[in-house]
Amino acid sequence: MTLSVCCATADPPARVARVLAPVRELADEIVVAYDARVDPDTLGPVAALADRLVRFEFRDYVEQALGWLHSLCSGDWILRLDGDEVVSRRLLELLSGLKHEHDVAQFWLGYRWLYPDPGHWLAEPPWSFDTNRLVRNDPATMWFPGLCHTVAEPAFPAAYPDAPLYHLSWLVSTPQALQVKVEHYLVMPSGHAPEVIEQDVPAFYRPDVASHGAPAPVPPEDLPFILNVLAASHDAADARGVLEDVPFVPWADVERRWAHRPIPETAYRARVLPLVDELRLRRGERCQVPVRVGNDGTETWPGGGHRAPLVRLGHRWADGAEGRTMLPGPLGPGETVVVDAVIEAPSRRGRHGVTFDLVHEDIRWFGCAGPALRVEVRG
Amino acid sequence: MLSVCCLCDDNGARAAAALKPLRAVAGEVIVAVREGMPPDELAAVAAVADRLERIAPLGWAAQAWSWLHRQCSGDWILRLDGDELCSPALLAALPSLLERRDVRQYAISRRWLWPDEGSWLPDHPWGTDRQRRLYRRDAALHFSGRQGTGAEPCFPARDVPEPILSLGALLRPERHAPGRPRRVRSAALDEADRAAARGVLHARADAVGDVVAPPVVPAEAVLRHWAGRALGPGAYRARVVPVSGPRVLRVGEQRPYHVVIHNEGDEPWPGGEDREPLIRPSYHWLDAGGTTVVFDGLRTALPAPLAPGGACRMPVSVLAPAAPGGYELRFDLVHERHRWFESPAAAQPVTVQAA
Repeated sequence: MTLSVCCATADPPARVARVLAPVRELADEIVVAYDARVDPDTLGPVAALADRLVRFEFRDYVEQALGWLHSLCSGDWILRLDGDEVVSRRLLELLSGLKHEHDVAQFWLGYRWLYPDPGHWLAEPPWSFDTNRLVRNDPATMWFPGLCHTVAEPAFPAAYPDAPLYHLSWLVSTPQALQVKVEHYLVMPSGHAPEVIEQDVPAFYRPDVASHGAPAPVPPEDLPFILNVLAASHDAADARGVLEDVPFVPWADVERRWAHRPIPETAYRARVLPLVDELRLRRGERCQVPVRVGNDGTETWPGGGHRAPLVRLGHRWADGAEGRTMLPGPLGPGETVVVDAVIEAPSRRGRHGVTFDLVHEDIRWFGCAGPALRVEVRG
Repeated sequence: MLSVCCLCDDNGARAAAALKPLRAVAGEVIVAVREGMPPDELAAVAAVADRLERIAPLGWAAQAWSWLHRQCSGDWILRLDGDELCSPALLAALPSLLERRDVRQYAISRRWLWPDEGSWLPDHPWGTDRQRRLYRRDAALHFSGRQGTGAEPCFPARDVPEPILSLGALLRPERHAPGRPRRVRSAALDEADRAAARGVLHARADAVGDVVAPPVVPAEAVLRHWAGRALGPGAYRARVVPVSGPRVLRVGEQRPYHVVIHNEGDEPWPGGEDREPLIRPSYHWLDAGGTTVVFDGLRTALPAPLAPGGACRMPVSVLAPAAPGGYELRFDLVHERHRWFESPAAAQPVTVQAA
């Protein structure tokens, strides 16, 4: 089992190098993607440490790039670190034993926001939570919703080791800079409910104006790691050097792996055919109807109950009643799958018709419905 | 590596003929047969199996799936019934199916041969039959064990059009064949499928070999892995140790408390949202006088299977009571629809304040 550590950042390269240094010996690969707005001539400290360094076209928030960032990694496990985070000693111990770990798909790490000084953290929400930053590089289970403040889609089985990550935002920013983040994140599309965002985002970035309990002390074993990263500001002046050949990745390449990318009209082509001609059901009876779905469009639909672009098999009765069935797995261009659509017979006796079509939720129906399935309702 | 497993009821020679072509792609072949299988049939199966198990009678086949799959050690498992065979097209497709990393489970088309070995039933429900028979051997693989079921659906899954061929209707028409009043259409099998089916259908056991019949696996040993088993009192031993969580909550506030759960019983817990036996951490709220004011706390799914003797650290979601006051938060586990564990008190005082 091998480990990739990845980081997408715009943070000062001297600090990022210190963030990554403790995992250098444990990681089989370190992949760093730098916001292309950062002067490439300053990336020397990171280039000296990373196995792969690229510059990418940043858009609105880093979560848009997570699918792409993880696709650059080749290890069996992937740990993502931000440029303002610090690993704990117990996390390093966990990483050193990963090669023997076969039974877990994801590790959820405790997230500890340091405040008001390097020796304390806020042990309560919204500053403290578990985050699945250490994931198996398994294309069957690893997926990123791509919305602001979201991480990987949870996968089973998972573990919650006592192996925290420390967050330095308060210690490396000014309240004014953090307030700018608040204003920015309040208007970004989020994976959380609006009321949660409105309450948590201002508090999260501005603990100085939020109410909270007494901060908890950082274990002495972790304090040196934190102080070492914070000391990066002292060596920033030595970090300059001309770097050549750092590849640039345009937004179009990043966007291709973003779940909420715009979907072109050419994607909405499909063949949808129920494999049954007629049914006889009792009133209200539920049954499964095998429906063959062929993707004749240009996009892969990820399938599942939550993954965007959320395309599902829909059915509609003549009276307007609708239902949905998820695709059982990804459906690429040219691929076909049989979906067992779950339908419920109308409550009125008589002859009815139900049509099947793909639907991109909240966007549109594909308009590919075949002939209606005839349903005779009795009893 | 692919494991092939098969539960064979009666005709060992037929199962052996069906399994033999799989030897080329499988790393191991594991066959379970019924206790009373005749020696010549047993010898036929033993000739193709890496492991042969004899099992005592069960109520229904699906009760054996969890146990049978636990005998397998491959990264992937393909299960065949004793009256099925892989079509030559499926055999050819298997290597590429096993290479895919973005799939956890395949649903394979199954063709029912009827009314003769050269024909099959193309119309619903026979013609649309798909079976979840090829899957990764990982924690997502689960069997409810209910009668007539196979592996539980698992995301992401894909279809395999190259079929399994079922001889069930030909061998047991009283159970599987279309009823007489119903007019059903049949279609011709292609020549390769027909030849493969004929070879299996007419396979006969040779003279008795010198196979030593393995000891019979008792039904209790098989049913110990069945999801629908009844748990004995020895299962309900656990310890829940709170490790972190707030001492003060607001009315109606929901917060995670981290606990370490020790399975000190004699049964594995499967974990997850809906796997039987469905065992989940929860809690009770007691007021200052020791009266239970909330008995059924929120449930949290175990994040992973937990074996006897094992422990897992996890967050448990807790919802504060509706009225301010001093309370005791008491963690426990519940076997849904059966009982609470009544674990040794894992309690901590919590003050609930007005919102």
